[in-house]
Amino acid sequence: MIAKINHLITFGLNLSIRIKQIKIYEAIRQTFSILFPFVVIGSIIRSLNLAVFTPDGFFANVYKIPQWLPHYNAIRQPLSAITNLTINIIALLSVFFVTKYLAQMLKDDDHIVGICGFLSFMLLNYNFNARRAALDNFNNLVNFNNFGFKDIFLSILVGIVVAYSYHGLAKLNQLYLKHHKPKHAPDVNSFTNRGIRAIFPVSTILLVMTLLGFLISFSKQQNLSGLLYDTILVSPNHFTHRTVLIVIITVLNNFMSLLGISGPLNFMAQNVSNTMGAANLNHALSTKNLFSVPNPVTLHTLYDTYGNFGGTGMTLALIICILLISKNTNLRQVAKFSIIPGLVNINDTMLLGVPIMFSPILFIPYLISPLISMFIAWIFINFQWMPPAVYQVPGTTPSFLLGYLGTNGNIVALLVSFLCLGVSVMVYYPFVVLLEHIRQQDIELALNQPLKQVLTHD
Amino acid sequence: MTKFKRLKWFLALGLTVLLFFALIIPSAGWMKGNVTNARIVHNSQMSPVIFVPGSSATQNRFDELIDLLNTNNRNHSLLKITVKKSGKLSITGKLNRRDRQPFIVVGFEDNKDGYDNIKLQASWFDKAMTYLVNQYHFNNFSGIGHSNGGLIYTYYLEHYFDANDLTIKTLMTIGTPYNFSEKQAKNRTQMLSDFIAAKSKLPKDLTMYSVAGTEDYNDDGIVPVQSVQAGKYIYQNTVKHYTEVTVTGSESQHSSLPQNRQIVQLITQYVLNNDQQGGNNPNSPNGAGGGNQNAPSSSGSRP
Repeated sequence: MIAKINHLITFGLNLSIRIKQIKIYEAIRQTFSILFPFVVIGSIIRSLNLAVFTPDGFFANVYKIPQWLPHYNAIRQPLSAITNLTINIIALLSVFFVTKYLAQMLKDDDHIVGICGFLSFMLLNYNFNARRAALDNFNNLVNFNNFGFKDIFLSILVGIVVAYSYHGLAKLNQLYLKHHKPKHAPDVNSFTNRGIRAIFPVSTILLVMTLLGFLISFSKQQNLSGLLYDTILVSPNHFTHRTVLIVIITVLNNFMSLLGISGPLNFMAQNVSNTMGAANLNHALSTKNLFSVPNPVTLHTLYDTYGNFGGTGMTLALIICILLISKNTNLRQVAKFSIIPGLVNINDTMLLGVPIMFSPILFIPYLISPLISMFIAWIFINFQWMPPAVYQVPGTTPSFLLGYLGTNGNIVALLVSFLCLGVSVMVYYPFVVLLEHIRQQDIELALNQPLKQVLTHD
Repeated sequence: MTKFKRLKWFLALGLTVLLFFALIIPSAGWMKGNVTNARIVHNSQMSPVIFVPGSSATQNRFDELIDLLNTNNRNHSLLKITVKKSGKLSITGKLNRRDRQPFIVVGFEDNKDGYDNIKLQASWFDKAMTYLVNQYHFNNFSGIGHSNGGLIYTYYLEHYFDANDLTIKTLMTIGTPYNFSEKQAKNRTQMLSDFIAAKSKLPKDLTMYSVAGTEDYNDDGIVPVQSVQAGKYIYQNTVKHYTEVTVTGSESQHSSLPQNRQIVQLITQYVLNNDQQGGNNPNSPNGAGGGNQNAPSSSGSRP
């Protein structure tokens, strides 16, 4: 048994080494680690804003905060400024760093390529339709709605495209220059030479991106982000009832969030305002009997209530698991900073910090644990050991209370919530152990090859 | 060192448990309150008829009318409220909580005539309505206003009423002088102009009846028929239905209008929903499960 586990760990370690050799993956990881501090402050403020400083937030309601806190409404505005300029432009920052690190690995001029990626992403979201605006009018120049957490996938995609096209164009340029260079070659790395060599690839990329952005602006959605989200648009309302479909949409949603796309299930909009939810609520209000509601198994009673602890993929369980068993200081720090957002079901810090996004290891428990947790809840609901949660609660309700409050105080629902949380912690356990080993391996590798490390970061 | 570590663990555990209870106890209480409220609103099938008398009339103005409406074994319970000048409510009578269509009369201590006083009365009426909604948890009602009572209703609907919280199904104004004592529709009083200016605030789904009485071809002894008809400038094409009815013959003098047999019949037919009061009427066995909307046309078969 132990041999088998060791074998698996070795497999995981090898996999991790091999994946780290993929340039794109490494660039994404570097980017995430740079963005992490901004996401931490942004997420903590965002959770405060949503749960405390929004009148229908959980804490605002339960502790009646608007009634006794002076200047309640005024506090929200400066706070949302921080969220807006961290979380809501995170994709703009990420495209710069992804491009920059990729360029660095491709041995191109990283800063120029980074700016190129940054401007390309802006161009793809440029507001070409503001024709009436004067040329020097900067209002509404760029659509800032599309640089949020939901656009991380696009930013990475654009970053990769720009970095590799630059690489190709730069090579082409060099080839051309070689043929036309004067025989007595000047200093290659001279001050101006750096910029001059970049003129051709930079202008080509920017021109192509402008054209692309202009073409996109003719589409109904008018920008890249809207185009992406409209093509993959899945309405959760089609999936609310049938158990199989609930499983499919949960997996789909969580898989998308692994890639940096926000899926169709939004934790803030609890899926109760559909016909099924309304029928349940009606029944519950008129008869007080939650066991006999017409639709005991819906997206809301399973996914919203038991499959989304601390955000998509039961991330609260991962936080707890790391805090309980991990000895890696970095992981523990990430988990600690994720407690407050995790309490109100925001897991951006975990997605970028651990990171879970694009992780070849954590994606397994991330996809499985919500399903197991929902399965447990399904058993309890199906055998009528526990009533389904039908009452609407704020999206920022701490997840382990969702079942208890949604059933208006059913103790079994509370116990099931904790059972689900415990089981999810166990699902994450082996993967956290593996993660520990990988982190340890990273440190050892870094110690063994100090020279190489210094060189690549030059 | 281990001792210190163990202490740290205990501290963390204790803190978590403490936090958990600080979360769960108030939130459970909050949720209970929420659900109770939702249940009350959801299950409230009470749809009272709220009467507002005109100037110089008290909360007892409609006694005769209500007696007439309560004949034939119909027992609508009755609550009377007089709003004092200070805004305090003096309440007599009691609503039967199982009564689906109780009667409520809202009178005012200061019942003088005049536009300024109508504004004041509307604000007092709003106070009474707030009390009633909080006390009896209904979300819809019908209104009957006699004379200036109709003006108070109009001012209330335009300035205080919030269609998000409350629905007024039917409003019947009886001999209401929308243009005071002006006989010429062209000469609009300040009040009528104000009403017309603010008419967009009237609830869009209201069914409105304006009943005029005439002793001769001109007026009901006090209010000119043209002044009653001026209501169309406010309500017509603003609310869902606006119907004008003119009653003549005996008992069509302004003050006797509320007990005019024709008007009593109009009220039974258009304001009191026959389907809804099966519980009050032993003659209709399946009335209890009836519809919840006022349907004048379906009850039009009555003689």
